[in-house]
Amino acid sequence: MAAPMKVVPLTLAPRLITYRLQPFTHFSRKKHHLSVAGTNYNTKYDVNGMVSGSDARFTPNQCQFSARVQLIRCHSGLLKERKCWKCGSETNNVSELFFCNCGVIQSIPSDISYFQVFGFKPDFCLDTEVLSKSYKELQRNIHPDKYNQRSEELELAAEQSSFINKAYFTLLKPYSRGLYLLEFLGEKIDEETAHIDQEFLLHIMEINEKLSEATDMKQIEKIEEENNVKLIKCVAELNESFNKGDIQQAKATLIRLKYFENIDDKVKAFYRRSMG
Amino acid sequence: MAMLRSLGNALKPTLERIVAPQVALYHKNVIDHYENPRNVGSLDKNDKNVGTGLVGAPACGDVMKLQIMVDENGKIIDAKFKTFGCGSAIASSSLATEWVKGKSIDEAVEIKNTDIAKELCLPPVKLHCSMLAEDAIKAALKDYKIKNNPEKEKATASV
Repeated sequence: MAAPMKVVPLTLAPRLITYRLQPFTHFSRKKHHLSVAGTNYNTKYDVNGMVSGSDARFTPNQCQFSARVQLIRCHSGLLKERKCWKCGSETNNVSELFFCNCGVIQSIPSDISYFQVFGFKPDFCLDTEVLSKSYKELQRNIHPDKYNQRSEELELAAEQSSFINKAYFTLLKPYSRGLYLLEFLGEKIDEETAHIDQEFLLHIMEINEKLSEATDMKQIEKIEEENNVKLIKCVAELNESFNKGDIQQAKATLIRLKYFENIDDKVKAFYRRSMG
Repeated sequence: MAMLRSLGNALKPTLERIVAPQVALYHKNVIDHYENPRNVGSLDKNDKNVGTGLVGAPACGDVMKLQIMVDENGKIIDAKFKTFGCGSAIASSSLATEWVKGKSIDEAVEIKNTDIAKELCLPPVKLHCSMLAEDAIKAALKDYKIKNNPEKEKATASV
C-alpha cells in the first residue's frame, strides 16, 4: 500500500453510498438471458482474486485504473472484522461474506459496497449477465423463505436479501450504477452547482414538446429510435470517462443520461397507455 | 376470459380508490396547479419585450421554460411556462407565472423559492422544484435585461 494514490475521499464513500438509492428504471427492452448452469461459489465471490487478476478490458497504462484497484484493496481492508454469531470464529470478509464456514448466515458488514456483494471491482463497465446470474444464485441461497424454520437466521436472511436486492437493482441500470459509482468515488450531482448548458436544455425541451404533441405511433417510434441512439452513446461515453478517471466528465454525461432516460420513460408510458 | 376482463373492470374503481390516497400526499394547492396549470404555452422568444428563462434540474432530469412579456413601463404583462418534470415542478412554475404577472421587473426579482414552497406546502424533498422556479424567473428577467440594455443605452445617448 506504499504506492502513492490519488486522493479519493475514501472514508466518505461507504457512508455516502448507503443513502442515495435510485429507483429501478427500465430503459432497455433487452432481456437478460440467464443461464441455469451454476458456477462455483467460492471462486466466484473471491473479490481479491478478481481484482488482482488481469482484465482484458483494461490496459496497464491506465494509471487511473490502477488507482481504483488500490481503492478497492483499501476498501476491502475497511471491512470491519466480524465474528460469527454462532460459533464465535472470525469470519473472512471475502470468502465468508454471507455464510460462516460453520454454515450459518452472517450479518452484512455495514461498510460493504454494492460492487463487492457480487465480487465486482468498483467499475462502470460490468457484465450485466454475470451480475444477474450472481444475483439469482445469491438469492437462491439467502432468500428468507429458506429460513422459515430457523428463526435465529431468518432476520439476517431478510436483511441480506433486501441488501442484495438494492445492490442488484442499483448496479443493473447504467444511470443508477453510474450515480452510485460517482458517489463511491466521492462526487455527487448537486442540484445547485451542477451546470447544464442552454443548448442542451433547448434540445431536451424540443424533444419533450414533440413527444407531448405526438399522436400516432410512428412519431413516437421515431423519437424512441433517436433517443435510444443517444442513450447508447451516453453509456459509451460514461464508460470511457470512468475508465479514464475523468469524474467531472462522467458527472456531466450522467446528467445528460438522466434526461434521455426520462424521455425513454415517457415513451414507455405512451406505449402502456396506448395498449390500454 | 371475458369474465376475467369484466371482473377487472368492475374492480377498477375500487382499486383506484385504494391507490388514490398515495397521490393525495401532495397538498391540494399542488394538485390544483398540476391539474389546471395556469399560463401554459410559449411567447415569441425573438420578441424584444419577451424574456426567456430556460433551466434544468440535473438530478431529476426536469426542464423548465418560463417566459415574461414586459411593457414599456417595465411591468410584466404576460407570463407563460412549459415544464417537463414532476408535479411539484409544474405547480411551482405555474404559480410563478401567476405571481410575476402584474409585477414590475424589480418586484419580480424579489420572489423567493421559499414563498413558492410555502404556498404549495412542498415537502423537503421537493424544495428544489421551487428553487428551479425561482431560477427560471431570474433567468427570464436576465434575458429580458440583456436584450434591452443596449437599446436603453442607445436611447439615453441620443437624448
